[in-house]
Amino acid sequence: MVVVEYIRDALGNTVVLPIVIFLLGLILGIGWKKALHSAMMVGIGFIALSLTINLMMDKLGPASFDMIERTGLTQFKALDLGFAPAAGIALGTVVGASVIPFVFVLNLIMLLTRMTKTLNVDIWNYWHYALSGSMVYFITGGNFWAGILAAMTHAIYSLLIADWTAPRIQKFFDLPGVSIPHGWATSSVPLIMGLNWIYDRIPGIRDIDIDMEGLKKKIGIFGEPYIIGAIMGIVIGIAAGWNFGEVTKLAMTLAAAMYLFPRMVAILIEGLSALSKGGQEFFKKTLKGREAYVGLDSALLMGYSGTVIAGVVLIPITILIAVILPGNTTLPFGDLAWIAFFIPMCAPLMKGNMFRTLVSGVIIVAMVLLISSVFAPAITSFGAEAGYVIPGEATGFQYITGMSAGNLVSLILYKIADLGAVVSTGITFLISLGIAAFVGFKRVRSERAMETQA
Amino acid sequence: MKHRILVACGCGAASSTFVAIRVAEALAERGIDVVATQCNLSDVASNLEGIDLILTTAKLEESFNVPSFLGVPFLTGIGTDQLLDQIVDVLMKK
Repeated sequence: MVVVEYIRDALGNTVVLPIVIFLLGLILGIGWKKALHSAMMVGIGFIALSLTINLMMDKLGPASFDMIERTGLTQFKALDLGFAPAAGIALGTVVGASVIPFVFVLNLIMLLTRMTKTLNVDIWNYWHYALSGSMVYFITGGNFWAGILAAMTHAIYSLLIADWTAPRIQKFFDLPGVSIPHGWATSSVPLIMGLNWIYDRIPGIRDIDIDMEGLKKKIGIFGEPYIIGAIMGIVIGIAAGWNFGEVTKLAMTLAAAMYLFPRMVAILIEGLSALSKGGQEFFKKTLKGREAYVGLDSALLMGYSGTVIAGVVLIPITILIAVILPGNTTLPFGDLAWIAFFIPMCAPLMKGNMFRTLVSGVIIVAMVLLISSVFAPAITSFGAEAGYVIPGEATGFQYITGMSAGNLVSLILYKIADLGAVVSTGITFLISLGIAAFVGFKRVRSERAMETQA
Repeated sequence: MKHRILVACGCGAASSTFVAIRVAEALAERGIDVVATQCNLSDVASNLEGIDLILTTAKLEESFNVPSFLGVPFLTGIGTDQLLDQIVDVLMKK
């Protein structure tokens, strides 16, 4: 523990993760030059991300403060900065940085023992597991192992769900060999299945669907993240009582931030790309032809236009929910342009029914807002350590958060850890590993039976 | 002569970055020089200037004058050779 703390304090978060990436790259055999390139890209990506956040907060901070003062919407204590800063913060803690090697090795072990069929090469999205780990790290007052166990539990859960949903996903999107172990998407699966079950049992509701094509033509360019940023800038600027010049500057700044965030993430992803390819190669040698799925980003699910359109329609609905929902302290902003990422599993699990997707979307958004409000203090505290600008009293927001951090699985792990730190998280980890082992055992038996029959 | 490929994905950053890097590397190994640009699936129409080929990570619902292929094999590692053969075919004709 002392070593871990020393590393964190002496080197800082933006150095630890690149070092971890470099070492993992060497272990996977991608060669020191590629490992170095990956490590540098990751480090640079973090700094680029930090730059963009500061750019945005420089104008958004004071604007939000003024807006909240003028409108009296003082229930908003946490500003949603979106997935990029949330991921940066989640991966930036000591637990977060360690999650990548731990989860990757766990995945390989689970693959070899057939507990899972998925090789999760979507390393960027390990950040959701890192979020669970970091939240547990926070609530246990800095218990590293509790955090790691929580992150691994989340990963096991996601891999099992990925395997279970794979056939449906592959058929719906025509993506052979793919599964989605995405840490957020998988957390929504039980809820969506439950809601679908309920819809099926309500006469009248169960038959409704909506046609998305007409809506699509009307939406057009308004779905662009930078346009959404600009519109939000105008709305917030006017609500803050700023003059025309200031409002337009705010709008442009926010449009720029919305446009830049994914591009900064792309730098980080470039760093992770060599690693994930290395993992795949390493894996092909050891699997020897047994069936495996490649675990990918839920961004692939954006290929269904119904989901994208529903995402845009949900934007104003999200703002409305945020205002009226009791217990919500989060002002949605950063993830508004990407609300579609909270509903991608609806389409394949509900056979493309857009009415059900929209209704479910409303429920999901409400849940996300509440959870991101709960996590706000922890995220803010880690954000301070990571060196991000903290919108303190000077900007009217006490906390920062991310809607993407509104993860039900993370919340459950957080509450479990609150009960008994390493003990309760350890038990949870063992239970999930046990379930995976059971699945693996049955799979090995059925695969052997098929081999002997062939 | 450099060919230009447009790579489009769901959010303009994640999957398209992977595919762009892999396709550029794979084509370089075959002696073909490409420049890959990225964009969102919904922006394809506005980014077609000078593009020889489109690669997407999800099925494109519209068709354009430029040949397009599903780039998912570059993400999964399965079927990359066949896809590369098709891409090389298209680029060589230009």
